[in-house]
Formats: sequence, structure tokens, C-alpha cells
Amino acid sequence: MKTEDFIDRVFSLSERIYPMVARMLGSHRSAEDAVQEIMIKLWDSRKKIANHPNIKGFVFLTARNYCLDLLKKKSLEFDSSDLHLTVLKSDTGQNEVEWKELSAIIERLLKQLPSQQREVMMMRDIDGFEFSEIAAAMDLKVEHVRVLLSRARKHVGKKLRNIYSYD
Amino acid sequence: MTSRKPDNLIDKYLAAETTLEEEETLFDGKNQQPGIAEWATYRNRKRNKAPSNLPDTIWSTIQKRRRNRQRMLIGLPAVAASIAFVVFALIYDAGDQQVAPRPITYDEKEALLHEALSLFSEEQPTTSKQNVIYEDDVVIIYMTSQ
Repeated sequence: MKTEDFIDRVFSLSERIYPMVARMLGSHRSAEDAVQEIMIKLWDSRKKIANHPNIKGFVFLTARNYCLDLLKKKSLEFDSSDLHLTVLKSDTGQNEVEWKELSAIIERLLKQLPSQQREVMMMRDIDGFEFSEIAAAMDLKVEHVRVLLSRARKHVGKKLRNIYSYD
Repeated sequence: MTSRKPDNLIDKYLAAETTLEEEETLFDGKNQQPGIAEWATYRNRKRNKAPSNLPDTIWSTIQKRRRNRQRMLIGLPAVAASIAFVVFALIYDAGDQQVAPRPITYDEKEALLHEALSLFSEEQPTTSKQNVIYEDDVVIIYMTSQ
């Protein structure tokens, strides 16, 4: 694979995989290092992947597997409640107390989900991945991804309505 | 263009049939429906965006690694060739010393001399009889017989 092809087809996805990597590893610094290592790994194997039928999917799968391996080595449990990401600017004007309460409630609800449903929902709603990208990263079919996502959204939506409809 | 009612969009969202663009509309903060509004708040605060200089940083690291690898690919064969040359020179030098003749000892020289002398006969030289035919101050002419 020529350098130009690598930049166009593989390297251009570095910003795309960043949200998922940052969410899984829990810090921007770790995410930057990890994305760098993932791209270097893909660069080293660029000749092997040149004729891959779905390079984009392969990149997402490689990124996810890299993060999972890293988490295993660090013996960290993949748990959304353990995230230490800096809080982004809020557009809703909620104060920090309400935000912490909301965050704790939602993360408790996410923990109740089966792991595949939770991960699909995070990859779609938080990371902004297409269904095909989620399917490639998790080695699932697109239809299965939709089913998992629908179930997760319905569960979380129903629980949130029950909690906040009393306010 | 058909306008979508919020309820339809929410139903589509729950059925996982919305596009990313439709979901952006749903999560734009204006939707106050319980269940969706709270998730939208959480989702908007948790989203991560890649640093703007990430691609440049990564690419410069890849290029540096590429250059280091190229230097290694040139340097290693040169080192290997140097080592091979030194080893060859050492082997050749050791072999050369084995080919050079061993210096002859004094006893061997004496033995060779005796052998050479033995090739010569020990008989006394025979003296021949001379019959002078003519003699004066300048020349003497004579005949010999052995």
C-alpha cells in the first residue's frame, strides 16, 4: 500500500476512532498515545492490509481490540462509571450538582445493560459511529447491532422516564 | 421535504432506525421529552473530540520511525560486512602461517652437507705420463697417456 493510500484510507480514520478510544481508556492522554500506537501498528502492516475487503472496518476492529488488550493488561474493568474524562462544556445550563446526579443515574442504568447492548449504545450515541462501523468493530451483523441498540435505548429511555417524570 | 413530528423521530430512535443526522437533531438540547432530554444532556457532555493536532502528531511519529528503520537497514549490513571482513582476515592470516616453511635445524643442515659430499668420489686423481716433444723458453709441447 502506498503512503498516499495509507493516509487516505487508514490514517484519515485516526480522528474517527479517537472518541471510542478515549471513552474506553478513560483519559485524553491515554487516548492520544493509543491512537498513535494503533496507527503505527497499521502502518507496519500496511502491505498485508492493502487488499483487505473492508479496511475501515478493520481499522475500527483493530482500535477496539487494542483498547481491550490494554485494559486487560492494566486489569481495569471496562466500566463507564470509572471514566475520568474532563467534562465538556454543558449546553443545557445545568449546574454541577444536577449533572453529577444525572451522570450517576445514567451510569447505573448502563451497568444494568448486557455488555453488548451497553457497548453498542455507547458507540452509537456517544462515539457517533455508523451501524456498519459498530458492526465491524464488534464483529457483528448490522441487523444485530440495530436490535441491540433498540433494546438498550428502550431500557434506558423507559428507566429515565420513570425517574424524571416524577419531577 | 416531509417534516418529521418529534414523536415519529423518537419512535424511530428507539427502533434504531434514525440516521446520525436525525439523532443530532434529537439531541440538540431543544427536546424536553423525559427520557430523551436527560440522555441528550449526558451524551452531549460525554462526547469526545480528537485534538486538532492529533493527525500531525501521529504522522510525524510514523515518519520518524520510518527514518530510523531506514538507517537501521543501511547500518546493519555495513556492520555485518565489517565483521565478516575481520573474521575473513583473521582466518586468512592463520592459514598463511601454516603454509610458510619451517626453518631447518643445524643437524638437518649437517646431514644434508654430508649427503652432498658423499656424492663425490674419494679416488685419488690419476697422474698422466708426459712425453715432451718440444721445449723452449715460451712453450712446452708434450704428449700424455693415462
